[in-house]
Amino acid sequence: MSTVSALRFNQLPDEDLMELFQGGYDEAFSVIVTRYRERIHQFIFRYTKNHLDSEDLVQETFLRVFRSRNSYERIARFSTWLFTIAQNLIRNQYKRSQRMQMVSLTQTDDHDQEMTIDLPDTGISVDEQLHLSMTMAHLQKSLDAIPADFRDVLVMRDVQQLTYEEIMEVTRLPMGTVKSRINRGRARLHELMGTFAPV
Amino acid sequence: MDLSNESLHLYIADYTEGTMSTDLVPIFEQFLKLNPEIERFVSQARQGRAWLVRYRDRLIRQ
Repeated sequence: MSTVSALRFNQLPDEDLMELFQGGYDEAFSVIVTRYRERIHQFIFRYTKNHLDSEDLVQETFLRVFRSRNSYERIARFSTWLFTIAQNLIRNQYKRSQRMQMVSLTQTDDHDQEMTIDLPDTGISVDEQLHLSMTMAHLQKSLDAIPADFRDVLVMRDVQQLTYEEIMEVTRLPMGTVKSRINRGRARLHELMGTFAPV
Repeated sequence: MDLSNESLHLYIADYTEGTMSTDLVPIFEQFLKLNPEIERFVSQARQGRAWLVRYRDRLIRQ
């Protein structure tokens, strides 16, 4: 892709890029991949807890976008369509493995070794780092303890920052149910965090 | 009104995220004062969301 067209395409909304892609401009697809790769990876990693598996599913997600580009219609937001594809792939993976683990902030996937949270050097003390690490681990554990029906929508909303409309489309639940589950999930998370001091 | 009412949750979510119409906020807060159980729930939901926002920030910084 030339620098000029990359710059031009970068400024376009997702839906315009998809139309260009449908019209044969493969550069538009590259821009979409760049725009969403990290976000989709994070979304999938929450469920797989494994970077390699996540990357496979990321690849599969974009492969499906590539193959199914002509089935996308502008009536739906592109991000909704994309996350629905990723969510369906996660579900299929879950069905295959019959188990789903949530990501740990303190443990990695490949070699079962402790992972250091790589934070920028902000002058934070060792004590503060330890407190942060413990709090995040407890937060992760608390999230895992929330029933999946509640946790899924909670993560979509507050971590992945999907709109309510997108969550409704992904889950096929009515707005009242989505919001009810998110509210209950948030309240439950607060209870589970107990006396942990904010970080 | 109790917490099993899904319509109530539409308002709670908007209030929790600060997207409720400014006209409605004082009315809703008055409603909460009259319903301590719901007020407690809303407070918990707001704090739960605050935890998740921090969590998201940490993920982004990783």
